[in-house]
Amino acid sequence: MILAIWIPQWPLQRLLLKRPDLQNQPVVIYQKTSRGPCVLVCSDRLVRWGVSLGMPVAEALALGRRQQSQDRRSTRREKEPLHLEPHNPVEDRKSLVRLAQWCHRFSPIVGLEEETFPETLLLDVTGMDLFAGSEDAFITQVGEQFRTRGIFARLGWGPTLGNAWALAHYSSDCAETEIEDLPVEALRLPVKTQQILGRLGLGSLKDLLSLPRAELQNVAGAILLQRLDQAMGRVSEVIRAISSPHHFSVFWQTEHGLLQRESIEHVIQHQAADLCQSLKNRSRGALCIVCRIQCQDSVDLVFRMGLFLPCADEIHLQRLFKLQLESLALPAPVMSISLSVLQDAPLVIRQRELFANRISQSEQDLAGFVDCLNSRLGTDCVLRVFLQNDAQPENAYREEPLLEGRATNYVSSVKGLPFSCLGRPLSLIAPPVRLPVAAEEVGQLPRYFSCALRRHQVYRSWGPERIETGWWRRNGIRRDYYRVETTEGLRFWIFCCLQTGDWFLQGVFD
Amino acid sequence: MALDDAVANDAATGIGQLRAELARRSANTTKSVQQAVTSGCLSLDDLLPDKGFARGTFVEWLGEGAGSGAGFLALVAAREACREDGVAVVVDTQRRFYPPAAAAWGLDLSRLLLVRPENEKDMHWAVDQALRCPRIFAVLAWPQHIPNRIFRRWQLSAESGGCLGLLVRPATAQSQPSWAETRLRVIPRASQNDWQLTLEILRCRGGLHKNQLEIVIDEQTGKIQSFDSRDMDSSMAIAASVAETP
Repeated sequence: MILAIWIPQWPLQRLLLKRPDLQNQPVVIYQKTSRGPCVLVCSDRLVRWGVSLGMPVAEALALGRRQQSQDRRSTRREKEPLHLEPHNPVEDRKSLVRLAQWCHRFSPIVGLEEETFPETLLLDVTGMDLFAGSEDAFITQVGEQFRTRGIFARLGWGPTLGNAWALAHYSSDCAETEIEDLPVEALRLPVKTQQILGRLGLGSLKDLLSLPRAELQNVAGAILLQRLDQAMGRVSEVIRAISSPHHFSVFWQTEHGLLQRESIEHVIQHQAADLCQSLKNRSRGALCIVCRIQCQDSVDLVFRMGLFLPCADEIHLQRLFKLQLESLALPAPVMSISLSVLQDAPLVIRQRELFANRISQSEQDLAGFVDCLNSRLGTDCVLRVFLQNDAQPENAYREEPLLEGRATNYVSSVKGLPFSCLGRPLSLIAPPVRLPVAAEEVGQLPRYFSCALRRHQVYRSWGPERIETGWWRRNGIRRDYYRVETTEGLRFWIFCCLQTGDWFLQGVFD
Repeated sequence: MALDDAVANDAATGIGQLRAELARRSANTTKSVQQAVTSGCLSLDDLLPDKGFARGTFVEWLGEGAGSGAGFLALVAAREACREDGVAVVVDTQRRFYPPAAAAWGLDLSRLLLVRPENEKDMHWAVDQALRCPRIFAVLAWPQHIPNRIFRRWQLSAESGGCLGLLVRPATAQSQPSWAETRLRVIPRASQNDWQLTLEILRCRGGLHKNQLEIVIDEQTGKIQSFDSRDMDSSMAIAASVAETP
């Protein structure tokens, strides 16, 4: 038996599940067409106001505004702005796949309908009614679970996929529907074929069944007969099953708590080896592993370990766990330890070469190095750097933790620098240090200043280099920068804040 | 006959390539150890026995006070060490390293890893790890105090990884024991043109015929050259211009 679960307006339902704050707000999901953005799905309230699918968004907005102003006059209700959301088919499909994976609790074979924008889940539930007592009880249970998740779904079941799909989409809610009474749209026919049948006055399956098969084939081709047979339960279809995500985890526990760090290390190393074996069996590599250490009468110690490349190398993992354990204080004897892979990815397996590319080999070494540093120092201490187009020296670059992806050779968006080699200091002091200036020197370059407990006399200078940020920035700056050389040949980068007239030391040409 | 000759030539070429590959592998490292890293200043290279800094060793730059330019000289050496698609690691405990300045000196930021350890102990460990990694060609750090045991470990790690270690330290560290193969003291001088620095070679493998060098850094191009050679260049330019005038 096949169970079809149709989730009408899935893009809208998904959005409302993600953002419950939009529940009482009129929502339009639009897609870009050659006529501009057009309505793909909208809330029931907007349909009542006259918004239809395929209508330009501008028109829908005008209708919405007019209706809201009328409502406000009659009910004195606050105006609710119309929420516009672009259609995201990729995310819709991903969410539906996740929902399909959740449905593995009802059946081992779960798939999606083969449409561009699928909205129906297909489950092979043959024999599953035994667990619930009866077929009806099982279907009720499935419907109940979907309601609990806040998803409105229509269920149809039958001997074949076509039959179940037709009942899920077109059966009546009130009375039991016979398959023959359904309209021809229930056959999942191409639009052109539906138009031909409509012109011939063939509106329901009953009309089609009353005609000879040879004539039907002449009118609309073999597809009509195929779909009809599928809907009538004569021809079965294959469900393209979605595989369930595999969870990699290992668990160890003891009656008598472990106190010795060496013993704990030994257990974790064994667990890491087991975990790596199960990962290797499925050609997967761990990207993120969480370790939970349960101590006696104490809170659990949990640490998360991110890996730069998918890894199933037990020696590398054991080394990383050892680094983590070194900095871990155990408050009480350890009762259980579990390792779970939170994120995994396909393992990159390369055929061994006689003279392997040294760069690809050393990329692995670099990934190992980054993992080690991330494990011991934390992910915010190992960084890659990007230049930014920002005049303010402090914001002229951005730092990013090295969690995954490419460690090196990434492409920078900034081409060319607006200063020469000696235009910027190698050491930047943030925040800048205020320089005390004699009263008679206010407003002009100081002749003397102090840095690192040493008094310096300015010998020569270059500047000013005016740096100011846009008016739209909240904490904008207006500074005149000078490079100064002292009588000892030392170089510094100082600036005058034009808003306050104060002098600051910002950099050292170290 | 011609076909036979072509096959024989191909085979000979192939065998030659295999020999070259085996010779490279027998060096037991991914980096070309034989080739020294230029310091970025030809006159300084001429003074050094390997005509540059040897990979797998340490170079210490002792700056005479903050703002002495020692860091820039170390940065240039790091840039030169990473020319062959190598990765540079900057270990910055004080959180003062300014990447745009490094980019202006030609260091490729897409091949730079910035490590910011919280304390000195972690810094020692991070430098050691970086030196061991075969993909990393240069490690630049500003350590204040290095225990003798740690420095020795770093030196062995650099040797095994073939990495060039570049340490920028204050001149007060001169009295401390060091495992660096080359030790240079940077003394800035106030001058009218460009940035003039005196390099004092405190330690270097092999004998030296001269242990002091005056260098100048060009304000615009960042070109580092000895004071004498620059003078020679400028006199040559003046002589040429005089010769050209009718």
